[in-house]
Amino acid sequence: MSTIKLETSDGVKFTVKTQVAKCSGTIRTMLEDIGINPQDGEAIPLSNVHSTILQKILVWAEHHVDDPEPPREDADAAKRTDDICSWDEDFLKVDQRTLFDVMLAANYLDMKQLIAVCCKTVANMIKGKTADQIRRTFNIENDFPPGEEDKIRLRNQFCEERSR
Amino acid sequence: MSEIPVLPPEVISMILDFLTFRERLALATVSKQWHDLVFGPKLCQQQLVFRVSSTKGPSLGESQPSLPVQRCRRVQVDCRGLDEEKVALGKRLLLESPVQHLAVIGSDLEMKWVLEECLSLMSRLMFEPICNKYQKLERLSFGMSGGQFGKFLTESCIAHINKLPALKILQLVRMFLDNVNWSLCRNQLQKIRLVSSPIDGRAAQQLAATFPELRELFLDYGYLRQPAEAFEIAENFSEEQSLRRRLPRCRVSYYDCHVESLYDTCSGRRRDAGGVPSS
Repeated sequence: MSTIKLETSDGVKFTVKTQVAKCSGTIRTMLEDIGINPQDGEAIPLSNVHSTILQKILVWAEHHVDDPEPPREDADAAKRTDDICSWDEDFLKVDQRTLFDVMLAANYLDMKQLIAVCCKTVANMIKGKTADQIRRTFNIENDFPPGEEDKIRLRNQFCEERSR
Repeated sequence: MSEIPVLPPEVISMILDFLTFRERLALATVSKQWHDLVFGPKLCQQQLVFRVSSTKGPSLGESQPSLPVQRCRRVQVDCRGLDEEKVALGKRLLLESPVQHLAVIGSDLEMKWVLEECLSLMSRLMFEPICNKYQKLERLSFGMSGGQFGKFLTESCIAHINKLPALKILQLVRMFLDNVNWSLCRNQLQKIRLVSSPIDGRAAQQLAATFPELRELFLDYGYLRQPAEAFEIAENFSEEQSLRRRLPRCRVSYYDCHVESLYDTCSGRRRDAGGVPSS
Protein backbone atom coordinates (compact mmCIF):
# COMPACT_ATOMS: atom_id res chain seq x y z
CA MET A 1 0.00 0.00 0.00
CA SER A 2 1.41 3.36 -0.97
CA THR A 3 2.30 5.81 1.72
CA ILE A 4 3.34 9.43 1.76
CA LYS A 5 5.17 11.57 4.25
CA LEU A 6 3.76 14.67 5.88
CA GLU A 7 5.80 17.21 7.83
CA THR A 8 4.12 19.37 10.47
CA SER A 9 4.91 22.91 11.57
CA ASP A 10 7.08 21.65 14.43
CA GLY A 11 9.17 19.49 12.08
CA VAL A 12 7.67 16.09 12.93
CA LYS A 13 7.37 13.68 10.00
CA PHE A 14 4.44 11.32 9.65
CA THR A 15 4.22 8.39 7.27
CA VAL A 16 0.60 8.04 6.22
CA LYS A 17 -1.34 5.76 3.89
CA THR A 18 -2.01 7.75 0.72
CA GLN A 19 -5.69 6.86 0.89
CA VAL A 20 -5.97 8.30 4.40
CA ALA A 21 -4.02 11.43 3.50
CA LYS A 22 -6.42 12.01 0.61
CA CYS A 23 -9.24 12.66 3.08
CA SER A 24 -7.68 16.10 2.98
CA GLY A 25 -8.70 18.09 -0.07
CA THR A 26 -5.53 20.14 0.25
CA ILE A 27 -3.23 17.10 0.13
CA ARG A 28 -5.31 15.51 -2.64
CA THR A 29 -4.89 18.63 -4.74
CA MET A 30 -1.16 18.70 -4.08
CA LEU A 31 -0.79 15.09 -5.17
CA GLU A 32 -3.13 15.07 -8.12
CA ASP A 33 -3.04 18.54 -9.60
CA ILE A 34 0.22 20.10 -8.63
CA GLY A 35 2.04 16.83 -9.18
CA ILE A 36 4.05 16.50 -6.02
CA ASN A 37 5.50 13.04 -6.29
CA PRO A 38 5.44 11.17 -2.99
CA GLN A 39 7.75 8.51 -4.41
CA ASP A 40 10.59 10.99 -4.10
CA GLY A 41 10.45 10.42 -0.39
CA GLU A 42 10.09 14.12 0.20
CA ALA A 43 7.58 15.05 2.91
CA ILE A 44 4.67 17.33 2.11
CA PRO A 45 5.01 20.35 4.38
CA LEU A 46 1.90 21.24 6.40
CA SER A 47 3.14 24.49 7.82
CA ASN A 48 -0.12 25.39 9.59
CA VAL A 49 -0.60 22.16 11.50
CA HIS A 50 1.09 21.10 14.72
CA SER A 51 2.06 17.46 15.20
CA THR A 52 -0.28 16.87 18.17
CA ILE A 53 -3.21 18.06 16.08
CA LEU A 54 -2.20 16.19 12.94
CA GLN A 55 -1.93 13.02 14.97
CA LYS A 56 -5.48 13.50 16.16
CA ILE A 57 -6.75 14.31 12.70
CA LEU A 58 -5.10 11.21 11.26
CA VAL A 59 -6.95 9.08 13.83
CA TRP A 60 -10.19 10.60 12.58
CA ALA A 61 -9.24 10.14 8.92
CA GLU A 62 -8.26 6.52 9.53
CA HIS A 63 -11.65 5.84 11.08
CA HIS A 64 -13.62 7.62 8.36
CA VAL A 65 -11.52 6.67 5.35
CA ASP A 66 -14.16 4.35 3.95
CA ASP A 67 -17.12 6.69 4.54
CA PRO A 68 -19.29 7.15 1.47
CA GLU A 69 -19.56 10.64 -0.01
CA PRO A 70 -22.17 12.54 1.95
CA PRO A 71 -25.34 13.39 0.05
CA ARG A 72 -25.53 16.91 -1.21
CA GLU A 73 -27.49 18.94 1.25
CA ASP A 74 -30.22 21.30 0.31
CA ALA A 75 -28.78 24.72 1.02
CA ASP A 76 -32.08 25.96 2.40
CA ALA A 77 -32.74 23.03 4.66
CA ALA A 78 -32.20 23.67 8.33
CA LYS A 79 -29.02 21.87 9.26
CA ARG A 80 -29.18 19.42 12.09
CA THR A 81 -26.69 19.41 14.91
CA ASP A 82 -28.01 16.36 16.73
CA ASP A 83 -26.78 13.79 14.24
CA ILE A 84 -23.15 13.52 15.34
CA CYS A 85 -22.17 9.86 15.47
CA SER A 86 -21.05 8.58 18.85
CA TRP A 87 -17.51 7.87 17.67
CA ASP A 88 -17.11 11.49 16.58
CA GLU A 89 -18.72 12.69 19.77
CA ASP A 90 -16.12 10.83 21.82
CA PHE A 91 -13.39 11.94 19.45
CA LEU A 92 -14.29 15.59 20.02
CA LYS A 93 -14.54 15.33 23.79
CA VAL A 94 -11.40 17.42 24.14
CA ASP A 95 -10.57 20.75 25.67
CA GLN A 96 -11.75 23.73 23.73
CA ARG A 97 -8.35 24.76 22.54
CA THR A 98 -7.80 21.37 20.94
CA LEU A 99 -11.27 21.45 19.40
CA PHE A 100 -10.56 24.84 17.83
CA ASP A 101 -7.11 23.73 16.68
CA VAL A 102 -8.61 20.65 15.07
CA MET A 103 -11.19 22.84 13.37
CA LEU A 104 -8.55 25.26 12.07
CA ALA A 105 -6.40 22.41 10.83
CA ALA A 106 -9.38 20.69 9.21
CA ASN A 107 -10.18 23.97 7.50
CA TYR A 108 -6.59 24.30 6.28
CA LEU A 109 -6.52 20.68 5.15
CA ASP A 110 -9.95 21.05 3.54
CA MET A 111 -11.62 18.10 5.27
CA LYS A 112 -15.29 18.91 4.85
CA GLN A 113 -16.75 16.12 6.94
CA LEU A 114 -14.46 16.84 9.86
CA ILE A 115 -15.19 20.56 9.69
CA ALA A 116 -18.92 19.86 9.60
CA VAL A 117 -18.80 17.68 12.68
CA CYS A 118 -16.65 20.26 14.51
CA CYS A 119 -19.03 23.04 13.51
CA LYS A 120 -21.97 21.02 14.80
CA THR A 121 -20.17 20.52 18.10
CA VAL A 122 -19.40 24.22 18.40
CA ALA A 123 -22.94 25.16 17.33
CA ASN A 124 -24.23 23.01 20.18
CA MET A 125 -21.89 24.85 22.51
CA ILE A 126 -23.27 28.20 21.32
CA LYS A 127 -26.95 27.36 21.68
CA GLY A 128 -28.48 29.01 24.69
CA LYS A 129 -25.46 31.14 25.53
CA THR A 130 -25.56 34.90 25.93
CA ALA A 131 -23.38 37.15 23.80
CA ASP A 132 -21.14 37.73 26.78
CA GLN A 133 -20.66 34.02 27.44
CA ILE A 134 -19.85 33.51 23.79
CA ARG A 135 -17.24 36.25 23.85
CA ARG A 136 -15.53 34.50 26.74
CA THR A 137 -15.80 31.10 25.09
CA PHE A 138 -14.42 32.31 21.80
CA ASN A 139 -11.90 34.78 23.12
CA ILE A 140 -13.58 37.66 21.32
CA GLU A 141 -13.31 41.28 22.30
CA ASN A 142 -16.50 43.29 22.43
CA ASP A 143 -15.59 46.07 20.02
CA PHE A 144 -18.96 47.78 19.94
CA PRO A 145 -19.12 51.31 21.31
CA PRO A 146 -21.06 51.48 24.59
CA GLY A 147 -24.80 51.22 24.08
CA GLU A 148 -24.52 49.90 20.54
CA GLU A 149 -25.04 46.32 21.62
CA ASP A 150 -28.40 47.11 23.22
CA LYS A 151 -29.48 49.00 20.13
CA ILE A 152 -28.73 46.07 17.85
CA ARG A 153 -30.58 43.73 20.15
CA LEU A 154 -33.57 46.03 20.19
CA ARG A 155 -33.64 46.43 16.45
CA ASN A 156 -33.42 42.72 15.81
CA GLN A 157 -35.98 41.51 18.25
CA PHE A 158 -38.97 42.00 16.01
CA CYS A 159 -37.59 40.23 13.01
CA GLU A 160 -38.65 36.70 12.30
CA GLU A 161 -37.85 34.09 9.77
CA ARG A 162 -40.59 33.28 7.37
CA SER A 163 -42.49 30.30 8.70
CA ARG A 164 -42.43 27.36 6.37
CA MET B 1 -5.29 27.85 30.57
CA SER B 2 -3.84 28.11 27.13
CA GLU B 3 -5.18 30.82 24.91
CA ILE B 4 -8.09 29.95 22.67
CA PRO B 5 -7.23 30.41 19.00
CA VAL B 6 -9.29 32.97 17.12
CA LEU B 7 -11.41 31.39 14.41
CA PRO B 8 -11.26 32.86 10.91
CA PRO B 9 -14.49 34.31 9.46
CA GLU B 10 -15.10 31.44 7.03
CA VAL B 11 -15.10 28.98 9.92
CA ILE B 12 -17.45 31.16 11.98
CA SER B 13 -19.78 31.34 8.97
CA MET B 14 -19.83 27.57 8.75
CA ILE B 15 -20.75 27.32 12.43
CA LEU B 16 -23.54 29.86 11.93
CA ASP B 17 -24.97 27.64 9.21
CA PHE B 18 -25.87 25.11 11.86
CA LEU B 19 -27.88 27.56 13.93
CA THR B 20 -31.44 28.69 13.51
CA PHE B 21 -32.21 32.19 12.37
CA ARG B 22 -33.09 33.35 15.86
CA GLU B 23 -29.97 31.83 17.37
CA ARG B 24 -27.89 33.57 14.73
CA LEU B 25 -29.59 36.89 15.30
CA ALA B 26 -28.67 36.69 18.96
CA LEU B 27 -25.01 36.39 17.97
CA ALA B 28 -25.04 39.71 16.15
CA THR B 29 -24.17 41.47 19.38
CA VAL B 30 -20.99 39.47 20.04
CA SER B 31 -18.65 41.68 18.04
CA LYS B 32 -18.53 43.74 14.86
CA GLN B 33 -17.08 40.83 12.95
CA TRP B 34 -19.82 38.45 14.11
CA HIS B 35 -22.42 41.10 13.39
CA ASP B 36 -21.24 41.34 9.80
CA LEU B 37 -21.15 37.57 9.44
CA VAL B 38 -24.66 37.16 10.84
CA PHE B 39 -25.93 39.75 8.39
CA GLY B 40 -23.85 38.45 5.51
CA PRO B 41 -25.12 37.71 2.03
CA LYS B 42 -26.84 34.56 3.21
CA LEU B 43 -29.33 36.53 5.25
CA CYS B 44 -30.32 38.54 2.20
CA GLN B 45 -31.40 35.38 0.46
CA GLN B 46 -33.61 34.47 3.32
CA GLN B 47 -37.16 35.61 3.41
CA LEU B 48 -37.74 37.40 6.63
CA VAL B 49 -40.97 38.50 8.14
CA PHE B 50 -40.79 41.80 9.89
CA ARG B 51 -43.58 42.23 12.37
CA VAL B 52 -44.59 45.48 13.88
CA SER B 53 -47.01 44.86 16.69
CA SER B 54 -47.80 46.29 20.06
CA THR B 55 -45.71 43.83 22.01
CA LYS B 56 -42.76 43.54 19.70
CA GLY B 57 -42.42 46.89 18.07
CA PRO B 58 -39.45 48.89 17.01
CA SER B 59 -38.43 51.28 19.73
CA LEU B 60 -38.72 54.96 19.17
CA GLY B 61 -35.72 57.14 18.72
CA GLU B 62 -34.00 54.59 16.55
CA SER B 63 -32.05 56.47 14.01
CA GLN B 64 -31.48 53.61 11.60
CA PRO B 65 -33.49 50.54 10.83
CA SER B 66 -31.80 47.24 11.52
CA LEU B 67 -30.02 45.32 8.83
CA PRO B 68 -32.57 42.52 8.73
CA VAL B 69 -35.30 45.06 8.17
CA GLN B 70 -33.35 46.61 5.34
CA ARG B 71 -33.17 43.19 3.80
CA CYS B 72 -36.65 41.93 4.55
CA ARG B 73 -38.56 40.97 1.47
CA ARG B 74 -41.77 39.96 3.15
CA VAL B 75 -43.20 42.45 5.52
CA GLN B 76 -46.13 41.86 7.77
CA VAL B 77 -47.42 44.85 9.61
CA ASP B 78 -49.58 43.92 12.53
CA CYS B 79 -50.80 47.26 13.73
CA ARG B 80 -53.19 46.02 16.37
CA GLY B 81 -52.81 48.08 19.51
CA LEU B 82 -50.07 50.32 18.21
CA ASP B 83 -49.91 53.92 19.24
CA GLU B 84 -49.46 56.67 16.71
CA GLU B 85 -45.77 57.07 17.31
CA LYS B 86 -45.05 53.43 16.74
CA VAL B 87 -47.15 53.45 13.63
CA ALA B 88 -45.15 56.36 12.28
CA LEU B 89 -41.93 54.54 12.97
CA GLY B 90 -43.21 51.33 11.46
CA LYS B 91 -44.15 53.19 8.33
CA ARG B 92 -40.73 54.70 8.03
CA LEU B 93 -38.99 51.38 8.54
CA LEU B 94 -41.22 49.80 5.97
CA LEU B 95 -40.37 52.34 3.37
CA GLU B 96 -36.71 51.59 3.82
CA SER B 97 -36.91 47.88 3.15
CA PRO B 98 -36.96 46.16 -0.24
CA VAL B 99 -40.36 44.60 0.24
CA GLN B 100 -41.80 42.13 -2.20
CA HIS B 101 -44.65 40.88 -0.09
CA LEU B 102 -46.63 43.17 2.10
CA ALA B 103 -49.38 42.26 4.49
CA VAL B 104 -51.19 44.58 6.85
CA ILE B 105 -53.44 43.47 9.69
CA GLY B 106 -55.30 45.63 12.13
CA SER B 107 -58.57 46.71 13.61
CA ASP B 108 -60.61 49.59 12.32
CA LEU B 109 -59.01 52.33 14.32
CA GLU B 110 -55.47 51.19 13.78
CA MET B 111 -56.00 50.52 10.13
CA LYS B 112 -56.91 54.14 9.77
CA TRP B 113 -53.43 55.14 8.87
CA VAL B 114 -53.21 52.60 6.16
CA LEU B 115 -56.70 52.50 4.84
CA GLU B 116 -58.16 55.93 5.30
CA GLU B 117 -55.24 58.25 5.55
CA CYS B 118 -53.03 56.35 3.22
CA LEU B 119 -55.41 54.80 0.78
CA SER B 120 -58.21 57.23 0.27
CA LEU B 121 -56.30 60.43 0.90
CA MET B 122 -53.42 58.47 -0.37
CA SER B 123 -50.69 60.77 -1.40
CA ARG B 124 -49.56 61.81 2.02
CA LEU B 125 -48.22 58.83 3.80
CA MET B 126 -47.92 55.27 3.05
CA PHE B 127 -49.58 53.75 0.10
CA GLU B 128 -48.32 56.00 -2.60
CA PRO B 129 -44.72 55.79 -1.44
CA ILE B 130 -45.09 52.02 -1.33
CA CYS B 131 -46.42 51.90 -4.84
CA ASN B 132 -43.76 54.26 -6.09
CA LYS B 133 -40.95 52.53 -4.33
CA TYR B 134 -41.75 48.86 -4.48
CA GLN B 135 -41.78 48.34 -8.18
CA LYS B 136 -41.07 44.69 -7.55
CA LEU B 137 -43.91 44.06 -5.14
CA GLU B 138 -45.52 40.80 -6.19
CA ARG B 139 -48.03 40.17 -3.50
CA LEU B 140 -50.16 42.68 -1.69
CA SER B 141 -52.46 41.76 1.16
CA PHE B 142 -54.73 43.95 3.17
CA GLY B 143 -56.93 42.60 5.89
CA MET B 144 -59.10 43.69 8.76
CA SER B 145 -59.06 41.82 12.02
CA GLY B 146 -62.12 39.87 13.12
CA GLY B 147 -65.37 41.71 13.63
CA GLN B 148 -64.51 44.60 11.36
CA PHE B 149 -64.80 45.41 7.72
CA GLY B 150 -62.74 47.85 5.74
CA LYS B 151 -63.03 49.54 2.40
CA PHE B 152 -60.52 49.10 -0.29
CA LEU B 153 -59.94 49.62 -3.96
CA THR B 154 -61.31 53.07 -4.37
CA GLU B 155 -60.43 54.71 -7.67
CA SER B 156 -57.35 56.46 -6.37
CA CYS B 157 -56.27 53.29 -4.67
CA ILE B 158 -56.50 51.35 -7.90
CA ALA B 159 -54.53 54.07 -9.64
CA HIS B 160 -51.71 53.46 -7.20
CA ILE B 161 -51.90 49.71 -7.46
CA ASN B 162 -51.60 50.15 -11.19
CA LYS B 163 -48.12 51.49 -10.55
CA LEU B 164 -47.00 48.06 -9.38
CA PRO B 165 -46.07 46.32 -12.61
CA ALA B 166 -44.89 43.13 -10.92
CA LEU B 167 -47.98 42.63 -8.77
CA LYS B 168 -49.35 39.14 -9.26
CA ILE B 169 -51.30 38.33 -6.14
CA LEU B 170 -53.86 40.50 -4.43
CA GLN B 171 -55.35 39.29 -1.20
CA LEU B 172 -58.06 41.13 0.69
CA VAL B 173 -59.56 40.00 3.94
CA ARG B 174 -62.84 41.42 5.25
CA MET B 175 -63.16 44.25 2.78
CA PHE B 176 -66.34 45.72 1.37
CA LEU B 177 -65.85 45.73 -2.34
CA ASP B 178 -68.96 47.70 -3.24
CA ASN B 179 -68.55 50.11 -6.11
CA VAL B 180 -65.14 48.75 -6.98
CA ASN B 181 -64.51 49.38 -10.63
CA TRP B 182 -62.30 46.43 -11.46
CA SER B 183 -62.00 47.51 -15.07
CA LEU B 184 -59.69 50.32 -13.97
CA CYS B 185 -57.06 47.78 -12.90
CA ARG B 186 -54.14 47.51 -15.27
CA ASN B 187 -52.12 44.88 -13.42
CA GLN B 188 -51.59 41.42 -14.79
CA LEU B 189 -52.92 39.77 -11.67
CA GLN B 190 -52.68 36.00 -11.54
CA LYS B 191 -54.35 35.34 -8.24
CA ILE B 192 -57.06 37.23 -6.42
CA ARG B 193 -58.09 36.05 -3.00
CA LEU B 194 -61.08 37.77 -1.48
CA VAL B 195 -61.46 36.19 1.91
CA SER B 196 -64.63 37.01 3.88
CA SER B 197 -65.20 39.86 1.50
CA PRO B 198 -68.75 40.35 0.20
CA ILE B 199 -69.05 40.65 -3.55
CA ASP B 200 -71.97 40.55 -5.96
CA GLY B 201 -72.23 38.75 -9.25
CA ARG B 202 -71.93 41.86 -11.34
CA ALA B 203 -68.62 42.86 -9.74
CA ALA B 204 -67.37 39.30 -10.06
CA GLN B 205 -68.11 39.31 -13.76
CA GLN B 206 -66.39 42.61 -14.20
CA LEU B 207 -63.42 41.21 -12.37
CA ALA B 208 -63.41 38.19 -14.67
CA ALA B 209 -63.59 40.42 -17.73
CA THR B 210 -60.67 42.51 -16.46
CA PHE B 211 -58.40 39.58 -15.69
CA PRO B 212 -59.08 36.92 -18.31
CA GLU B 213 -55.73 35.28 -17.52
CA LEU B 214 -56.52 34.81 -13.84
CA ARG B 215 -55.39 31.47 -12.47
CA GLU B 216 -56.92 31.58 -9.03
CA LEU B 217 -59.96 33.34 -7.63
CA PHE B 218 -60.80 32.63 -4.02
CA LEU B 219 -64.11 33.85 -2.68
CA ASP B 220 -63.76 31.81 0.49
CA TYR B 221 -65.93 32.58 3.52
CA GLY B 222 -67.52 35.24 1.39
CA TYR B 223 -71.06 36.51 1.17
CA LEU B 224 -72.08 36.32 -2.45
CA ARG B 225 -74.70 38.92 -3.10
CA GLN B 226 -77.45 39.10 -5.65
CA PRO B 227 -77.48 39.18 -8.58
CA ALA B 228 -75.68 35.88 -8.08
CA GLU B 229 -76.18 34.19 -11.46
CA ALA B 230 -72.43 34.13 -12.05
CA PHE B 231 -71.70 31.97 -9.01
CA GLU B 232 -71.81 28.26 -9.63
CA ILE B 233 -73.08 27.57 -6.14
CA ALA B 234 -76.04 29.94 -6.36
CA GLU B 235 -79.57 28.63 -6.64
CA ASN B 236 -80.22 30.98 -9.54
CA PHE B 237 -76.93 30.17 -11.25
CA SER B 238 -76.99 30.62 -14.97
CA GLU B 239 -74.60 28.69 -17.16
CA GLU B 240 -74.28 31.67 -19.49
CA GLN B 241 -72.92 33.95 -16.81
CA SER B 242 -70.76 31.34 -15.11
CA LEU B 243 -67.52 32.62 -13.64
CA ARG B 244 -65.73 29.39 -14.41
CA ARG B 245 -66.82 29.64 -18.01
CA ARG B 246 -65.47 33.15 -18.25
CA LEU B 247 -62.23 32.18 -16.57
CA PRO B 248 -61.46 28.83 -18.16
CA ARG B 249 -57.90 28.66 -16.80
CA CYS B 250 -58.84 29.77 -13.34
CA ARG B 251 -59.48 27.84 -10.18
CA VAL B 252 -62.53 29.39 -8.55
CA SER B 253 -63.01 28.49 -4.93
CA TYR B 254 -66.23 28.96 -2.96
CA TYR B 255 -65.15 27.43 0.30
CA ASP B 256 -67.77 28.08 2.99
CA CYS B 257 -69.44 30.81 0.95
CA HIS B 258 -73.00 31.96 1.50
CA VAL B 259 -75.21 33.18 -1.26
CA GLU B 260 -77.64 35.94 -0.50
CA SER B 261 -81.07 34.42 -0.23
CA LEU B 262 -83.62 35.11 -2.92
CA TYR B 263 -86.35 35.12 -0.33
CA ASP B 264 -87.71 38.36 0.82
CA THR B 265 -87.11 38.07 4.52
CA CYS B 266 -90.02 40.33 5.40
CA SER B 267 -92.71 38.58 3.46
CA GLY B 268 -91.06 35.16 3.42
CA ARG B 269 -91.66 34.93 -0.30
CA ARG B 270 -89.26 34.29 -2.98
CA ARG B 271 -88.22 37.26 -5.03
CA ASP B 272 -88.12 36.20 -8.61
CA ALA B 273 -84.68 36.24 -10.16
CA GLY B 274 -86.15 38.35 -12.94
CA GLY B 275 -87.08 41.03 -10.49
CA VAL B 276 -90.85 40.64 -10.46
CA PRO B 277 -91.96 42.30 -7.24
CA SER B 278 -93.62 40.14 -4.70
CA SER B 279 -97.18 41.01 -4.03
